[in-house]
Amino acid sequence: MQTGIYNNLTGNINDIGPMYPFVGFEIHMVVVAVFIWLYWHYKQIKIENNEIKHILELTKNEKVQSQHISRINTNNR
Amino acid sequence: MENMLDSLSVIFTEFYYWVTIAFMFLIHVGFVMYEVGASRRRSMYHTLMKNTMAVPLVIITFYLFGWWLYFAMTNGPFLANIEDNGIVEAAFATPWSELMGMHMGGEAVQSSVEGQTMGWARINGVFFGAFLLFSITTASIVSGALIERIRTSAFLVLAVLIGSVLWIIDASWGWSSTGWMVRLGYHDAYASGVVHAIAGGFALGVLVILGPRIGKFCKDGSARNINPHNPLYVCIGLFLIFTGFWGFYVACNIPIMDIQEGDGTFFSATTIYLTPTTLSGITFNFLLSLSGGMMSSYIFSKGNPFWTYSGGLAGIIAASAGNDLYHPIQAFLIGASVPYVAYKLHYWVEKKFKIDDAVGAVAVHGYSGFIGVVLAGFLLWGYPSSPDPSYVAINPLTNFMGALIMFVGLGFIPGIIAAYILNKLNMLRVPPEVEVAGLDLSYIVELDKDKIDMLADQEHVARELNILNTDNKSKGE
Repeated sequence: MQTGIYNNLTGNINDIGPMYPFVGFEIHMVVVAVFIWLYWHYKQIKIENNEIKHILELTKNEKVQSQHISRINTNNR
Repeated sequence: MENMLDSLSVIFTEFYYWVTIAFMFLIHVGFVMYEVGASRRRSMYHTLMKNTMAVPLVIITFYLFGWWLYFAMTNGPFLANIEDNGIVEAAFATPWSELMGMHMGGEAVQSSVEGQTMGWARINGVFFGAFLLFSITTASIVSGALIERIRTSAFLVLAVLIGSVLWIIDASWGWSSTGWMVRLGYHDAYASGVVHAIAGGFALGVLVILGPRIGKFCKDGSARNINPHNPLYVCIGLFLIFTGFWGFYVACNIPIMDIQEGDGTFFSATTIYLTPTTLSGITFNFLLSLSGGMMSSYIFSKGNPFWTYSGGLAGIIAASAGNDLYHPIQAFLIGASVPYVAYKLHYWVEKKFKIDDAVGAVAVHGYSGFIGVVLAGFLLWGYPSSPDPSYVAINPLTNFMGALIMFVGLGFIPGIIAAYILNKLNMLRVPPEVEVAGLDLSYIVELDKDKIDMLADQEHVARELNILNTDNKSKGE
């Protein structure tokens, strides 16, 4: 089993090119990275929407209003 | 690498850029502190995470397409058919290139990078890193202006747009030894325009659509000051940005290169345009422009700490376009005068157009960068813009056009368009209830609940250990 393209360092070091494992699969890895990047935005938007929804609910809660929102004008909140 | 001298040169260059990357991270630390300090307590966690998450997102997107754009777009939009037709081939900078990973410089596996491995194997990553930190800086500049009302999701889309697309296209055009604007005489050695003016212009475009924070303007239209919740964070943040700027400056240079045309050799540091400069000279100019900016800003702002620090930064930014060549006193005078104009413009724009730039980013980066580029065109008129004698010499017209392209063409207009689209999708701004109650409300409520639970548990244990008198009850907040 060998994941890299060299398995010893006894030859000429000048001949060694890419050192990472799975040489030849670069495009596949890029596709995975693009997918993760875009999916991350999707998940982040969902998390933020839920967060905003939760804050909107909290603003209607009398206890939160008295304990937190009423204090926004104090101590530079 | 078999030759000791060549090896030293390559490994020194590799290490040089690597150090600049570490320094430039301090710019981001500074921006985050500055923004968090400038925000009010009720939104500071949101502010922290908004800016922080720009770092990983710009990293991955700059890897995926930003780095390639820098090399591919040098011919620009209009001159593509005049020479070197169209998009320049840059296989070594594509994300699937073997040179975008660990490589010893030996024989290429991919035919697209044959013959390029020795030159790029040890430089690609550190060059990428240095440019990436400029990218993160552009996103961070924009971030500060928008605090306390923009959605994180919207900002992160905008951060990718400015950090991994727009600024790197302008760098390709005007901050590359073969860029089409440079061929016409554009000069901006330490990025007054290509980093600062574009980011300031982009922030202004977004602000036009985003609107001011609730309560920023009185009913009669006059603006109120919204005090930072922690002025010390603001000032330390700006000091950290000064520190990181040392990395920024030296990353704009190539540390060692034979600049002698024809017979003979002469090794020197060069600018990004391959024109000679020295680290010693830019150290003079950096420090003198900082000094000028802080001294004048202290006077015109009557000792306001925020504007005194920001004025120092604006002074450096204004002189940066020509700090490879200026005399230190010239850098000092530019540093002293431009922040005053930027300061006046900030308040004029705020009053006239109701623009709420929470940290003065448009003034400090946008206006100062723009003016700095224009001034460099006049002060360096006739200097060679490149070692290539076919390039037009530095001139005021090209630098003025360049400043417009940076601030308006690639900054302001895309900023307005992107913010308009996000606004139409109802993704740009948080609802007013959330803005007023605070973007951290749910987090704060949760923290308080945990705190009350924890105090109750502690009280229970204290009673069991007989170290709390039953009459002496703790009062959980």
